[in-house]
Amino acid sequence: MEDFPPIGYSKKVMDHFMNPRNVGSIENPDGVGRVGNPVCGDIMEVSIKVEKNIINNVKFKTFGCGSAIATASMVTELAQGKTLEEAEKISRQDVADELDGLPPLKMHCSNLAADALHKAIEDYRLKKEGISGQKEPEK
Amino acid sequence: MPELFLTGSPYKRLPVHLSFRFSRIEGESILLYLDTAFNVQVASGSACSSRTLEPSHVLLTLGLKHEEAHGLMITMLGLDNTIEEVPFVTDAITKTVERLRAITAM
Repeated sequence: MEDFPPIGYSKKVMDHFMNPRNVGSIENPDGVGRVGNPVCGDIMEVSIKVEKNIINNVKFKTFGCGSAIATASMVTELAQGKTLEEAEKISRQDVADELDGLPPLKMHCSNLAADALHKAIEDYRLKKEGISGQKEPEK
Repeated sequence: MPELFLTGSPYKRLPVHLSFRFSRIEGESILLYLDTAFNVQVASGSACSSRTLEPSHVLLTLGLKHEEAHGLMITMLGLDNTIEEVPFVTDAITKTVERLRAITAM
């Protein structure tokens, strides 16, 4: 408790934290991705609905700190309306950049939203296209 | 409020100090929302804003799981606080916890 530096969130992070977009879970989702670790204090779940290769609905739920909530909210905005291939290219860095940056400490632990999205897409591919989809199966 | 736990003894403690634990939500987001939405300042033993990102080692030693220890919130009354402010703060805490629980993935 000896040090409480300013958290140093950007205005955009605060906006997404205070007014998160696309909160919730999709009923009968086409894909769900859950990532994180309770030890770190961050767990995120992204669910997607896919039509004609396009993500036409995406929602998130987050247990975690301010940046964990903001990054998940941001990734749902970035993924909405994208093709699966475009959405797979959304990186952790893209999410942080779109939020005008994250404090260095938060880049690692609380910036898992892109991973959750990618897992949701992977889940979709496994369900709809079988393991022999576009991606090599995980070892 | 459901899933709210007082940390420590109800009697053997400083009268101005309260330490609570809320399940399924995380400390930094509690203090950030309370500060931004209600201008209420609290502390969180989860220390998510400090260097380590570790939750309170005292709570872990007491046998709590990490995700439980992350939901800690500490309030203290200061010299400038008045008793009239207490209902405002409890209302703000209730709204904050409800809001974060509507978002949580746990």
